[in-house]
Amino acid sequence: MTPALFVALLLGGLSLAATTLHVGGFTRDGRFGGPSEVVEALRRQAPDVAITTVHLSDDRRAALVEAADGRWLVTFLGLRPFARKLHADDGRPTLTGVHYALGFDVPSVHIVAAHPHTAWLAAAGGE
Amino acid sequence: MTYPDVVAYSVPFFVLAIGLELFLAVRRGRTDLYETRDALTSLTLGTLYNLEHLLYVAVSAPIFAWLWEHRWFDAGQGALAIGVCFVLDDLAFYALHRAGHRVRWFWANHVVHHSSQHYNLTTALRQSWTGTLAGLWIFRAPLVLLGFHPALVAFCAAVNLVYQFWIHTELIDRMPGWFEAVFNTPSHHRVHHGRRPQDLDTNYGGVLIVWDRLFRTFTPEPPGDRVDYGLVKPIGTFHPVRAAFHGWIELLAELRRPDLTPRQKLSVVLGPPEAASSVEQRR
Repeated sequence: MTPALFVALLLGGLSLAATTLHVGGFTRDGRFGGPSEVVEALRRQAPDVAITTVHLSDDRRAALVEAADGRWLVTFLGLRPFARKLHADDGRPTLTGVHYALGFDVPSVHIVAAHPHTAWLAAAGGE
Repeated sequence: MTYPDVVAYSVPFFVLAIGLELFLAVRRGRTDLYETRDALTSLTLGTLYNLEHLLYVAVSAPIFAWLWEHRWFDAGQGALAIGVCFVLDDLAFYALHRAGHRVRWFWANHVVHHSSQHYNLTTALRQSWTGTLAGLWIFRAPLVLLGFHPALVAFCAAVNLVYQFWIHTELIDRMPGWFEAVFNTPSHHRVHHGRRPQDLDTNYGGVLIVWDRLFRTFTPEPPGDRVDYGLVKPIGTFHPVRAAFHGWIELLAELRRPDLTPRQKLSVVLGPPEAASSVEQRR
């Protein structure tokens, strides 16, 4: 097999798989139904965290959790939630919310918080 | 003696099986089993794994050839030798896989296989690109030294890899009791991919689950249980390159910490993943 044929088969196969899955309705982003789902998601990753407040983003795709040990971001990768502990300088305010770049394995998370939301902006170092 | 390229021959079966699993998932209302981007990440990692495997062969072949020249015995290549080699290779895989979870160096390589929070047949293809870098060949080298021909060892390793494809599914509940007792099955391997404390570091077997029973790492799947799949600290990206290398990046970040002594850094590399110098600092 020539390299060109290999690349063609690779790209063709992946494109076919992507199209099939996408058309089949398998491209989905999770949303939190409410604060209790956020707590459940965070507890699965960090069972001992003492949670005090949950702030859902406007689109319910993410939540800022205030806990005894600091702030946590809980959001989705596709359908499945994951969490990261936040540091003061992690976030960057944008026109529509806050953008987080939390390292190599979480390169980009955009939080939709159109209205000035003190907790989100404080977490992003904006206040 | 030449052996068939079982991985290449299996590719059409892989494609058909994934299609069938997808069809059955829709029919059974389990559309949560698949997510487009997650599946694409797995498929990309699996496809390019084959390129990395060429490097693995290029590196390990001369080493195995040298070991073959200095072998202690000659097992031959008859049916008995193939059978014994297959069983011993499966034991070597158990050691490799256990090290892959209990030694940070090898975990940096293996973590990608566990980085999906979904569990379907594409997850089986989510293979590491850094097996050569990690030096995985060392686990199978003793087989050659014992007198099993490198081609036979490579064949057994390939059969082992292909066997493990079908166990990455939620759609098969339990196999017959005798089969569950001896072989690795979807039920056993679901537990292995779990991230709850009770699921971690269990069921390392490749084809045979008897090694886990023997070395006390076996955990059965409780009836009606729903495993929570993925990493204790899940990754937040579908990017295949980030998925492939995040384990190494995290390890390197720890090794660059100026507050660690060389001895502490060595213990980070050779210690278990959860005992990394300061887990709290790994966000």
